[in-house]
Amino acid sequence: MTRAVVHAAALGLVTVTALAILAIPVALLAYLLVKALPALSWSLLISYPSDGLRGGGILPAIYGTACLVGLTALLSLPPGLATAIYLVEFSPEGPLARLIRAALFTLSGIPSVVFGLFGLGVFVLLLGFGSSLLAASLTLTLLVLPLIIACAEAALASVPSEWREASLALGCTRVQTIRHLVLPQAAPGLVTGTVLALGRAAGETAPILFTGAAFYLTDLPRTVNDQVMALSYHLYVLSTTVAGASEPRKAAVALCLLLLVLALSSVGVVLRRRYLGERR
Amino acid sequence: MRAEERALELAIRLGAFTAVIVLAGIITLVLTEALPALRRGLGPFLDTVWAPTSDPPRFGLAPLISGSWTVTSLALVGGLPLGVICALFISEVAAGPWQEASRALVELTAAVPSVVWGYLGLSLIAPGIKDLLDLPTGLTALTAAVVLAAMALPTVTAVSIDALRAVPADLREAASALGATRWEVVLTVALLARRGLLSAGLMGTGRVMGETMAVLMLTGNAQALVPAPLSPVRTMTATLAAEMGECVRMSDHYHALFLVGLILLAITLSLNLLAGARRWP
Repeated sequence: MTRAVVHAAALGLVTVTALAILAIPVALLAYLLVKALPALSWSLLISYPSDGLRGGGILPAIYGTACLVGLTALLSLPPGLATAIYLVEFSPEGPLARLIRAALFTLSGIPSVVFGLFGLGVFVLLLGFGSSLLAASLTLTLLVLPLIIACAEAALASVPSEWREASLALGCTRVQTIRHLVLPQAAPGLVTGTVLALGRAAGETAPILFTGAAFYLTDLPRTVNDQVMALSYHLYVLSTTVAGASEPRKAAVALCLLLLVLALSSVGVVLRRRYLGERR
Repeated sequence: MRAEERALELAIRLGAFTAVIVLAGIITLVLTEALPALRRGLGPFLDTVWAPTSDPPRFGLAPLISGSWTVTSLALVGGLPLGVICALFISEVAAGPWQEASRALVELTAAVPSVVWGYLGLSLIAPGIKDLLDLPTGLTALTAAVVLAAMALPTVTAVSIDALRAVPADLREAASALGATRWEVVLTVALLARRGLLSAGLMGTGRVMGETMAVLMLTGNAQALVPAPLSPVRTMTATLAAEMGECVRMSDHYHALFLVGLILLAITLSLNLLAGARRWP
């Protein structure tokens, strides 16, 4: 009898602990909301900063993050798609495919600040892009590559192989089959991967620190060679270097960034459940 | 038409190697930029102080490595068991909508950017620890470790869930049929999944070791050769983030920072290799 009681208590303890931990993100979001409330207004979102970043809005940071995220999506889709097509359609089990998979797994474990070093060394200095929107987006592209490929692979693999065989039996070439049959069918899954990757890219700070993030701009970036402000870097700057930035203002920037990232991620997670099945 | 197809196929075959090229590129770049630092031997790096801008500059790596290690191990003491407990709950205890909701929460926690964790640590944890323990500053190794434990959780939980799922369902049923209580079934499954759980721990360690922004904002960035949990420390990642932007290109300082990056890369890569080797036997 005591064994049953003790074991039930142990199970209960695991449940309570897990539920308490899972409540943390909800509690933190509520905390940010309450704290940011005094600073939230439309003008925060649509006007330029003033008073040494202590007043005014955060439009350049929002615009900069949008540019970074958009350009990263554009840059990461072609290599991501090519890799996924190779892994699923060309050679799923070959030695080269195994090499590619091992490289992707390794890449996904490299700290983001090391990607920053690579971006600085190669894009900023070696290729001479300078600290710019382009260099920062390229760095973020490398960072999200494993994620985008994993989703693209799942999307392509979800297309039934009988369809491919039917297409090939009708005399279509492999490239035609991929272009007109597999890709349209896999499109929702590909969008899912892109959205998830964008969520990841939007929140990153360390990779853009020395590749393109600007402390303070009075104008929006015009070309990919300009530096950009970004919400993530702006939050870091407000929290650590700007003396006298008000607490509600910092919380408001944190909330904007968090909501943007969570919106992208939850759309991605829902789409993944829907189009790619239960994977993780 | 044929030529176009062949071109497309070639593009796909070439594009597929992006990841391999990038990985090789990262390792090559970090190596080539770090090696000039070793021109004058290992001597300067065995110093006990990292002070690259003092005169003469000092490049002791020990305080940075021990700083990273202190923060990481403190964070894992909390993060690992809690992550595994969450995974046990989600995989073995919860069912239906509870399971769905818990998994969604873990995924959302994983999405919270590191700079937001840093801000939350500054505004919640640091003042809390300062008042609670009556310290001169709230920016300590412990502060960063508390936040890092929360950040490591989603990684540890997700990989652990995969490990637990890999245990065949018949074994659960067999344990129940033999008269095991639900708790004993959970323990049995955990024991059977131990290799996978270990790899979850290794991946969590890699993640925490490489974490940058939250650590940069919360550790206080004062170096100590023998760091104490309640005093400020300085990690490898925070040093890179704080100094890389300002150092003179191609100077001794620049190369020394790349050497720090090389050590960081070597540690995280070996942790991942270990985890990967265990994941795919």
